[in-house]
Amino acid sequence: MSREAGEVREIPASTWLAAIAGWLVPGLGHIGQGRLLKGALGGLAVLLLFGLGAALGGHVYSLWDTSEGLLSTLFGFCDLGSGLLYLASRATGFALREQPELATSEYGNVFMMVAGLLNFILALDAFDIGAGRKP
Amino acid sequence: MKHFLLMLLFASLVAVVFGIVGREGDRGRVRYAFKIFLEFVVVGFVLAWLLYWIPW
Repeated sequence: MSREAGEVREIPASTWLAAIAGWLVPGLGHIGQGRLLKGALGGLAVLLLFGLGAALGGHVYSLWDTSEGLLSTLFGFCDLGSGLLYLASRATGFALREQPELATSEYGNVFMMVAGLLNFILALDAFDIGAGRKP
Repeated sequence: MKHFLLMLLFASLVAVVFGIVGREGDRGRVRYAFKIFLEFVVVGFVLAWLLYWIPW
């Protein structure tokens, strides 16, 4: 399995598709590659983290609005990892309002950000599998 | 107690994803996820006790 230095391997379009699908819908990248259990479990974990985060009073951050502090953009990037959940949330106004009156709202924010970061990892894992870097 | 339960829930969900993307193979996957879960809980306890003694 050794590769020559400098060898460039062509990445098939289906690999990019799996990664993008996995980013948009948590777990879909693995499911599309026939790894149903991995995709279902990973997708469910991300969905639960996002949903629990919203239920705890968390909110998604904007990528551009820094009125909540300069770190908002970084937090927004973490939330962006949830793919369609993030985009739908921004479009519909779901879980957009900060709720500092709830004691668990900061937990909720962290749950939602970690959901996004984990989904980034899942999407990259689907890419690596498609590219033949992982079994 | 609610905070502790939330920590357990968080640790278990993160451990599931780490188990999925780990390179341990199918046999070691569950063990790796369990290890990640335990590490989250133990580190959480240690940090909580350390912060308890800091007066600010």
